[in-house]
Amino acid sequence: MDDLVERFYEPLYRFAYSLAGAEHHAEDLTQETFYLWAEKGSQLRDASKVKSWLFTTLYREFLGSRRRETRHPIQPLDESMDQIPASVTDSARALDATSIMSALLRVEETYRVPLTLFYLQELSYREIAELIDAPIGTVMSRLSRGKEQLRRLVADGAAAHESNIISLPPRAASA
Amino acid sequence: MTPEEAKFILEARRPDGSDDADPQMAEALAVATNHPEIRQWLADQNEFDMLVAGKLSGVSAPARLRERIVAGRRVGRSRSWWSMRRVLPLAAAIALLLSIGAVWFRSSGDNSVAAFGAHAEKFIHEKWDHQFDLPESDLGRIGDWVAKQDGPAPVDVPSGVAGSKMYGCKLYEWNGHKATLVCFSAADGGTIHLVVTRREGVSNPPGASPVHFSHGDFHMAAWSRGNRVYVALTSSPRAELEKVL
Repeated sequence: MDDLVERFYEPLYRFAYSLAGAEHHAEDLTQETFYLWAEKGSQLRDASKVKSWLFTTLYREFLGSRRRETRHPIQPLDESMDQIPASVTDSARALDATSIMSALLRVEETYRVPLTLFYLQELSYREIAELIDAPIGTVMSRLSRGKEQLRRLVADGAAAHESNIISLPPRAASA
Repeated sequence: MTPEEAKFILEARRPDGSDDADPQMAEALAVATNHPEIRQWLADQNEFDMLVAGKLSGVSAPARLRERIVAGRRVGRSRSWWSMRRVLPLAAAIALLLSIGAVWFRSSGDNSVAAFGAHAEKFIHEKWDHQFDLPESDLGRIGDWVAKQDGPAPVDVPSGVAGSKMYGCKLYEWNGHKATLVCFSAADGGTIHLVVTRREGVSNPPGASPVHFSHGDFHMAAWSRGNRVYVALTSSPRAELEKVL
């Protein structure tokens, strides 16, 4: 169990943070996932599914916790934003981890969930499809749209950074 | 597979290349290899994706999280008490406990020691997020920390308690009075919860000798020492409580 915690608590936390947008909520979700593993993990017969089980459980816990909370609307993306500049990779390079996470948090949740899992590189697109219970084609489509949104936000964030504009913090625990 | 189909699939290719053996991905990669424009597009995609993945891996979990997970897992055993199959029997036990406690301590006020114990049980199972304010294995350091927070520190506890393996402590409030929860290991591997409050917060503080309550698999013992009232709770057998008190 300790090895499992050591191996997965950080990627699970990052996934939780991308869902919840708040450190304390991400900690709770990560901790709750390991509680559930301690209680129910022995029922899992296929050891190769442990990683998927942990990420899926965390995601379900997040969905469950959100149903119990007041929903806060997320600021929708402005689809009419300027064209993505060709130098978006340079923009990403200029941003730090926190800024990248902030940009990711502004991606619509439908796209953010598979996108975060994609960038964590822990699960294949097939495993992501199982986790969110969607067809593979849907996952690919969401990854494509999610990346498009992220690129816009990264470009936007870098522009704000260069102009010394203070970005608003991401909205927390949202849907 | 058309170039557009290949691009669509390659959007789902992890930048570390761990999907390259996937048949669908391999076919899409083959299309990209033979198509200069797609090859360049893929190189750009990959560079951006690697950057984002790398930055994301720089988001660190709080240092305390791993410690809390490991500590909480041990305490978490107690959560199984509260499985749905046990909710009703336990609720009945609490109701009985309250009535027994009221008679036992000849008090019916909300500030009775029985109410303090019942509240502690409810706090542990329903309100507490199972995160310690101070994950700590040394009771002395727990006491020092609690005292600094102006909380009721567990002082002058039975040697069996002091010698047990501690997990940490949590401060909370009970009827407007500060209370401290300390969790430690029972000899059988279960968990014992010790709650402490100041004597003035309890209308009928018990004597120095522990008074035991028992119903089903849920046990409590209450006693006073100095200016402190203590209640120990566990789902382990009553003998486990007796061993440390």
